[in-house]
Amino acid sequence: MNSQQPHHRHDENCGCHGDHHHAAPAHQPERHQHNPQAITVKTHDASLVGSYRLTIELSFEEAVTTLDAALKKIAAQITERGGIIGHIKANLTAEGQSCMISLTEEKPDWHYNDSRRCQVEGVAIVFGILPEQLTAILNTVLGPYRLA
Amino acid sequence: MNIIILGGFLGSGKTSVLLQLAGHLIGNQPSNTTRVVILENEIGEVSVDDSLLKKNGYQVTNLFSGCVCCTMSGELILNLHRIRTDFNPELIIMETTGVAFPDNIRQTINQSLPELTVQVTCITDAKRWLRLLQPMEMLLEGQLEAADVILINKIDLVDDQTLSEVETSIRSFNDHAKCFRISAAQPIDPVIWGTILNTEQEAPINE
Repeated sequence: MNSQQPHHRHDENCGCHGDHHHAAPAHQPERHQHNPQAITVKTHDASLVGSYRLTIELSFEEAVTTLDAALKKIAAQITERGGIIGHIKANLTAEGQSCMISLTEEKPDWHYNDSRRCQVEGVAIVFGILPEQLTAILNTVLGPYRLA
Repeated sequence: MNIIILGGFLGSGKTSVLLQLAGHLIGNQPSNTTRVVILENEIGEVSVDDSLLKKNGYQVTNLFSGCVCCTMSGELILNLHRIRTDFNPELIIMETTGVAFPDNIRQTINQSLPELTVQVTCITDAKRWLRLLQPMEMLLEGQLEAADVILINKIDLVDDQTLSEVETSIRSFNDHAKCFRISAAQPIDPVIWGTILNTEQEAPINE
């Protein structure tokens, strides 16, 4: 589930148990985030280490361009705040094309699927700004794509 | 079993060098991954370099979400024991985090596994060196001072005068290491691999 589909209705088959608490007493729809750790920031000596996982619902080529622009924006905002960029990097993976072939007794049916969903995992390791600042930058820039 | 530690600051080109070194070692047989094990250490809670290496066909052991030069030193030793038991490789190439002190890692290994030979190669970024020197001096010095080999990377991105300044500065931290200028975007001279591997041979080790 991603930011384009942030809310859902719980039922007996809901697969999200254990990840968060449901409102008591009734098991009713509620607004919450599914993966609050999609963006994390921790300190290591003098460095800040921001880690992020997100989904971009675009074709592979479009997602690469989008991610490139987002990482440049993160870099610019860190520099604007007087920070030093150690390394900002991310790995983008496209789910790609798939085809399900269905056969009974006649000619097989081919069901193609050209996925427009890319998964991103990345880090931003920086110096000279506060953890809250890095958290805010990552949330601002990556928020629209964030796993929720 | 020998260990080569690839150290150096964030973004200096450690992974690019590692990919070329691995390619040099296994020659044209990417399916042969038994003699060399790559050990990745990444500081983030997600692994990025690990994914790149795996997509290039290498089997990789990853220690992430911490640095083996300090907080994860115990896990490093446990993993080295496990790698020796499971794979018994001739060589382990370990890529450190960009904030690690490689000599701390060497000392940790020497204390627990004194029979292993550990060599430290440190990669530096010629393009950013002078800019990073003042704010990051202690870290850069600590990474370089005990290196056996220093690779000054990204020389294609600086002019000759800047490169000379960078080399002089780097030499002020370590004047005993063997020092080479490289661009990891281009094929690296096999002579350099011979130095890093402490062997004169230029052919892949499995030939």
